[in-house]
Formats: sequence, structure tokens, C-alpha cells
Amino acid sequence: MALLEIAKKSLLAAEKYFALNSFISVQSRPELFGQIQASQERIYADSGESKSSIDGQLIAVKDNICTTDFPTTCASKLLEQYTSPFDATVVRKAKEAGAVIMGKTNMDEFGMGSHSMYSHFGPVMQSAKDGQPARSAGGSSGGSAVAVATGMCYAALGTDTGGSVRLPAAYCGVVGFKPSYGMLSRWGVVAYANSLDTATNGHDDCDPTSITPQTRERIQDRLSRGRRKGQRLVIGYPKEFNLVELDDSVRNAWETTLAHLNSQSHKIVAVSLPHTKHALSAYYVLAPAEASSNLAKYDGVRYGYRDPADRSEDGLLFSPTRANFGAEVRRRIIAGAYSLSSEAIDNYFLKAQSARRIVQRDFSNAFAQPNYLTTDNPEEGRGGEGVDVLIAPCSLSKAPFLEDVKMQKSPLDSYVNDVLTVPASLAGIPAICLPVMHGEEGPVGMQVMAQYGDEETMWEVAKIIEEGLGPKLE
Amino acid sequence: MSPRIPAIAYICKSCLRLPYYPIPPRRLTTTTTTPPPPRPPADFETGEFRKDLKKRLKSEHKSRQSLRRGTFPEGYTVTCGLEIHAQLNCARKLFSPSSTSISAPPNTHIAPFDAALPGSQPRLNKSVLLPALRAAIALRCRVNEVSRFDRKHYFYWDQPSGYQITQFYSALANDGCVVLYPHDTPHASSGGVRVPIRQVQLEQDTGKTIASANVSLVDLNRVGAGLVEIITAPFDVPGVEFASAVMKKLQATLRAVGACVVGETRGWDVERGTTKRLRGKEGEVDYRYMPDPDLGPLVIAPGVVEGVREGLPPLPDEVLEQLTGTEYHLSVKDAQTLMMWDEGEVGVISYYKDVVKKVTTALGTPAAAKERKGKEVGKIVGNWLIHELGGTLTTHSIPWSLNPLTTTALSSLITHLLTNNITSATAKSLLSTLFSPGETRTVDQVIEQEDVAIKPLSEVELEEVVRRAVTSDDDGGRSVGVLARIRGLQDEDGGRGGKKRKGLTSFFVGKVMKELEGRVRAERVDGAVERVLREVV
Repeated sequence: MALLEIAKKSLLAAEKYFALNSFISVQSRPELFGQIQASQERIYADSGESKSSIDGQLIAVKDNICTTDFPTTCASKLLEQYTSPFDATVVRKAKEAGAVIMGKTNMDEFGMGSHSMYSHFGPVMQSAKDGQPARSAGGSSGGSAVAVATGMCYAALGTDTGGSVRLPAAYCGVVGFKPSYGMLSRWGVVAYANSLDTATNGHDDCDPTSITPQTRERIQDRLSRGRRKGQRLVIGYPKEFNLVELDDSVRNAWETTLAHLNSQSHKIVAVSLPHTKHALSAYYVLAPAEASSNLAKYDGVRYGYRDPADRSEDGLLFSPTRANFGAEVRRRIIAGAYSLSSEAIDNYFLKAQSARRIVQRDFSNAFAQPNYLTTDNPEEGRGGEGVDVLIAPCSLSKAPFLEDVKMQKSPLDSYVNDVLTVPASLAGIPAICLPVMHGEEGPVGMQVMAQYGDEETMWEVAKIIEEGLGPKLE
Repeated sequence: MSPRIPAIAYICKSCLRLPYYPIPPRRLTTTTTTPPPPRPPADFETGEFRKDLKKRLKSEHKSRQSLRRGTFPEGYTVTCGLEIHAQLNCARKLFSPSSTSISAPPNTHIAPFDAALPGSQPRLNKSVLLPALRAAIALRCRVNEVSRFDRKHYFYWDQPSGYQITQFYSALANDGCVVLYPHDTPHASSGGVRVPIRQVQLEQDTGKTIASANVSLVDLNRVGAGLVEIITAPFDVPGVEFASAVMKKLQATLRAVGACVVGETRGWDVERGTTKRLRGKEGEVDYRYMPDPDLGPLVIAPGVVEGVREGLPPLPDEVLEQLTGTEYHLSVKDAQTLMMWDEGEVGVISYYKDVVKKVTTALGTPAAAKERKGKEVGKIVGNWLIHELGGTLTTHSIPWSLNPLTTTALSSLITHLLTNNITSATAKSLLSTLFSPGETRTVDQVIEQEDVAIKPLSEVELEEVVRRAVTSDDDGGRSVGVLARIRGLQDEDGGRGGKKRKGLTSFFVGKVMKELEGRVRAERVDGAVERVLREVV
């Protein structure tokens, strides 16, 4: 199909599902068509060549990724009017590859949430089927997931700090990929928790946490030497992920996935990641701590929303402006500020940092290959007894009804949703969430996790699962 | 195990092979903390309480008074700790590519990171390390192989990100010292007093607030410029001026090695018309220090410290020793004056040394010079540089950095003086001639064209001039009057008469000197006047 035809279809979908509130800003039609036309002419010219597989395709961008063509609001009142003077590196690269940026997707304010409900621009919803009430799109990249799921765009960029790409992908039945930490540049990605944030490859000098080309090359070289080439893979399932809270449909889909992989002659083994239970608490100490620091810049002095009063009655500087953060953001800033305070840092922040190390070590004890980012010794991996990838569900259940989410007694109830995605975030390893069909019901999100930098093996297994169990395209 | 490990900033020697960036002096802030002396406990149980209170207030007032006089009340040892911020001598900011500038229009040197724009990240500018390492080494610190960056949180409008990146948990360098000698403070013995330095750390500067009555204007040009914070351990302060001597010594040390540009910044309070502290050191503030998650550790490769140390210019004490030593013979006071002027890159000392070298070469041997004037060349050049050249520059409001006089010109002038080719008065007027606008002639040319060289006047010729001066009546009878008084003195006896006579004869010496426009040395005129008077009286 011609690019313009594809785009028109997408825009029809965008119109149809407008009420799902997946976009905060959208590019005008003439501008979009103009850009796609240019791609099309380039590709179909006599000597033409497509710049990439996304040349002329519509790409949506989460609204915490900086763009010069649209405001970058982070779904916050404080950045309602803010337009960045520079494009994020990931956006620049997408544009260079010929992608057409369709608009900016709705999200939880500053990426803090699991249902994309905490947005200054209203909550994101999934399309209601068969007269059922609306379901949660997952968060925080809910707008991006809904845009892809409803065919509004070819692909969307999100950010994944503790599961913000994978959880919405699981709820919406699309593929969500979180790369190894440092593989994608975060320059231009508005920080939530820098040490956990990951965005979609290449080194960027602007991002101090971006892995250098030399290190990338070394890691790939070491990994390729140790891979089980042409042999059957060893696939692990972490026992600790089999929580009592897991919905039956999810557990069944997990079993189906493992059975399918086994049927493809891969070896399935149970694996223990004993410290997984600490991951969620560690995450909810570390991420808010970094957030409280990162969000200190939003004071209304240089840009963004500013309250007429620069201080409260008791002299607290900028507090009238900062009172305009949403409830969840304020909650995390306060929690983070507390865990960094001199009275609490030893018991919270430092303990959480050590918990994080232990969780990371659990993963390295499970994988056949070591984490080549921190070692150059192949002996440090588990070797023959270790696994190549880990398979686990991405969410405890399918997408809950928004009504039920709103009924939750404590905002902390939502934090539990991240229990299955956070471990990979703390370890900095790549993880992909795939929709797996099981029975008559809709898809369940299953994730494939691999050792640091080993996206190759992760994709290999993801492909096997998608081919066997993925939703069949119409 | 952290995924943050790749962000290591690895500093090797090649990272630091950088040009020298001169920046005019600007900033230095200090905070002193003096633990209050223990208060005598008030007896709350008895009626003596109010009396005690009164007594205490009185004694506190007294001790404040004595502090003003520079001494502390007996029985108390005052200790003090200093935190000194000095801006590093570097063309770019600590974590952004924008340039450091003090004269640029407000808010014109700001990178996205400086303004804390969403999505921007820090990137360590390795060239900042060179001046920082120089500072640490000059202060005799141990440079740590690995140091880290932390965030210090507080809200202020000149601090865009809501935190300052500093080094709290592991600093660039620790455990150094600065030693004060008698030439630094009267409180030091010849062995010196050691003031311990606890830490030298890298950190970001803040913006500038220009406060006025009802509005605060903010200039972010300075935001993110690299600073070193130098933290001393608490040290005993024998007298108030000791702390300021420590400050001066630190400043001089940092300047000498080109590490820092220093000055002072105080907030100007328009309403009160006084200076004030911009931010108090509230003991209650919790800065919530957190390791910066964007910045990896800073690793100094082996050999870097040694390399920087080898390239370090001499320290103030070494310079002072040299200037007051047998090579230059300057007094401590004059040497310190030159060193004070030698701030940063201006090079007053090298100018001085160059002049000394040129004069000495022209004279042949240093001994030859001493023979002529009874003083060493170094001392004479020092006098000329400090008093004559320095004074002339001040008169013309010209900074040292724009001194138009070449070392060749000054050395030529001094050589002419020392070889008795010109008189000291001529030399002084020559100096101001050389400063006149459009003057392009050399010293030799001026002397020749203006005909100011000392004329080899014979004794007979000189006495003829003197005789005319003594006997003429060309000044409204003054000469006649003086001569008459001298004659009158002939009758008086003893020392008193001799003294009076000397005063009166000097009138004629002056008159002759004026007529000869200083072309003959005063001693010769003196002799001639004496001879003529003997003959005339």
C-alpha cells in the first residue's frame, strides 16, 4: 500500500478513537501529508531508495520526549505551554530515518503512574469492547500504547523507567520493548529517574549515561562468542514471579508460552531470583528520590507555568507554583525528599541501592553469560547451567476496568502492578513485552528478558513466541 | 554492578594538554563559622538570675569590643573553619559547552543544561580538571584516584535545577595544608603555622541576582561555571587578622598556580545601602545530598598528578624567597607588593626580573652597580618599578596589564641613571615623557634630542655658575637676604650656627640645581657652593 494510503487509514483511526485521549498534540494534516509525500517521492523515484523501514511512516512520540515541532508537556500543568528548543536524540534519529512525527502522546504526569490516569490533559482510555466499560491503558506510556493498538500510527516512542512501556503494551496487546540501559540516548528525554530511564540504538555524546561505541563493540563481541549457536536454547522461568496475586488467565498464558518454546525443542528450566521481593520496594524508594531531585527545576522561573506568588506565606520559595503538580507527582516528590533527608537516607536510599545490587546479582547468577558491562571475564557467567533468556508475565492481570482503578483505596495499590516489570529495570537488562493469545480471550503480555546487551537473543526468542502465539493479523 | 558504570570520566594526561585561559579576577566568597564561647550557666533557681543575665550581656558586649580591637578575651580559644569558593580558570563551564564570561550582556551564555531545560544532561568538561588539580596540588592535597559528583538541593532563583552539583561523598582531593610564615602574619614563628585543609572539591557556580527594591533580576551567565570549594579543618585563631591572613595566603597560592580567578562577591542591598550575605548558613537546612545519577565517577589516570605537579609555577613562598634572596635583594615588603601586583597573568614579577637582567647585563657586573649607587640593582629596579613606574601608572589610571613601557625602555633609563649619564631628576621626568601620548622615541633618542645628559661641566664652569647665583639679585632680593644671613652667622659659634648655615647654603644648592635642570649631581654642586661661599663671605 502506498504510504499516503497507510497514513490516511491511520488518521481515520485517530479520528475514530479521538475520545480515548491518547494524544496531547497532533500535527496538522497538510503538514503530515506533505512530509509523507516527500518520503514517497524519494522512495519511488527512479534512483530512489528508502532511508529506513520507518521512512514515511507515522511515529507517535510520548510527551516527555523533547520535540521542537510540538510542546513537550510531560502531561503536567507546569509544562502546559513548554516547547523545547531542541529535539531529543531519539526524535532526531527517527526524523533522519525519514519517520514522520505524528504528534505527542498522553501519559501519566512525568511518567509517574501505572494507568495513564494522572494527566493534566485527562486520562487515557482503552477502547471499550462489547459495551463493556473502558479499561486502563496502563502507564505511564498509555497514550503511545493505545495509538499503536488502534492503528493510529506505525509505531510510538515511549519511556520505560519501571515498566512504563511494557505494562501499557501488555494491557493494550501490543509489543513493548525496553532496551538495555544506556543503549538509547536519553538526551531530550525529560528525566524521571535517570538511573532507570530508558528510551528506542546508538551512542550519543550528549548523554553521559550513553554507552560508548567501544564498550558496545566489546560487549557484542564477548556475547557473540558465548552464544549457543544453532543449539537449543535454555529458557528459564523465575519462580518468584509466580505470585498468588497472578490472574489465572495470565498464569495459563505463561504456561502456554513455555510449552510452545519447549515444543520448539528449547529446554525449559525453573530459575530462582530470590531477591525479587525486594525489587518493588527498592524501586519505589529510588525512583521517587531521583524524581524529587529531577523535578526541583520546575519552579516557573525560566519556563513553564508560574504562579503569581513566588513564595508561600511562610516564605517557602516557589511552593505556590509547585503546588500545581498533580497529586501523584507531589506524593512521589515528598516520598523522595524524605528518603534523601539526612535522617532517612541510611535507612531508605542507601538500603534501596544495596537491594538494587542484590537484584542485579540475582539476574547475573541466572544467565549463562555474564554482564559484560561490569566484567570482561566469561567465567563470571553461570555457563552451561545458566539460561539464555527468562520468560515471565508483564502484568498480574489483563487490563483492569478504569472504574475499578478509581475505586482503589490507596494510590499505593497501583504500585503493585509494577512488580513484574521493575526487576529488569533495576538490573538495566533488555526486556520485551509481547501479546500472547490464549484461548478465546484477548492477549496477555509476556516478557522476554535477556542479559545486558543481549538484545539479539531476546529478539530471537520473541520471534519464536510471536510466530507461534501472537495475534494473527487481519 | 550499576548500569551507570560506563559514564566514567577517565582523565588521562592527554585530556589535560590544554591552553591557559586567563580570566580577569572576579569572585571569592567565604563563610566563616566560629563556635560561640560556652556561656556560664544561669542560676534559674535563685533571684540572682536577672543579675547574672545583665552581667553576661555586659561581658558579651565587652568581648565583642575586644574582638574589634583584634584580641580575644582571656581564657577563650577561638577556632575557625573556612569554606572558600574560587572560580576555576577555564574558558568553559563545568558541565556544559557554554563559555564563562563576566562582561557579556546578561543571559547570553546559557546552554540548555545551564538553564535546566527539560531533557538536558550534564557532560563533564575535562579541561576544568587542569586548574582544579593545580589548586589541589598547590594546597598540598592528596588527589583521589576516584571522585564522584553529588547533588545538593535547595531552592533559589539563581540555581535553575534546584540543586548544585558538588562533591560531597567523595571529593577530588583531601588532606592538604597551607603554611603561614612571619611575612604572612605576625602570629607565625619562623617555622610557620600549618592550617589544615580538609577537602578540595569541584562544584557548580550559581547565577547572579541583581536585587533592587521591589524586583530581583537574574543573570544566568555564571550558572554552572566550575568552582573549587576549599574547606579547612577548624584551626585556632590567635587574633582576628589571622583568619584574613589565611584567606590572603590561599588566594595568593591559587593565583600563583593559575588555578583560579578570585575576587569578592557580596550582595548589594539597595534598600540598606550595605553589603549582606546572600545566603545564610542555616543550620536547619537539609540539603538531601544524592549521588548524581547522570554522572559517573571521575577517574584520574596514573601519572596525571605528577604531570600537573611538574608543570606547576613556583608558589608564593618560593617566589618571595627568591625575590628577597641574594639574586634580587628586595625587602619583604617590596617583594610582597610586586607579588600582589602579579595577579594572574599580568606578569609584573617577570617584568621586574627582565629589567634587572637587562640592567645587570648593561652594567657588566652587579658589583659595578653597587659601587656606583651603594645599592644592588635588584633593589634599585624594585624602587623604580614600585614607586616611579607604579606611581605613573596610577596617575594615568593605566592597569598593569596595559603598561606601555617595555622592559628595554625601563632598563635603559635605569642604566643611564646608574652610569651617571642622567640625574635622578632627569630620569623621573624622562619617565613621564615616555608616557606622553604618541611618544615613540627610545630613551637614548630622548636623552639626545632633549639634551638632558649630564654635561661634563668643569669645576671652573660650575663655580662660575654658582658665583653668579650667589651674587646676583634676580629673585627679588632673596639671594641677597640669604647671603646676608650667612654672613651674620659668621659671628655665631658652635654646632647651632653650623646647622643654620647648612640650611641656608642649601638654598643656593637648590637654586643652582634648578638652573642646571638637574644635570649635575647635587654632591658636586654642594661642594662648589661651599667653596664659592667661603670665597664670597
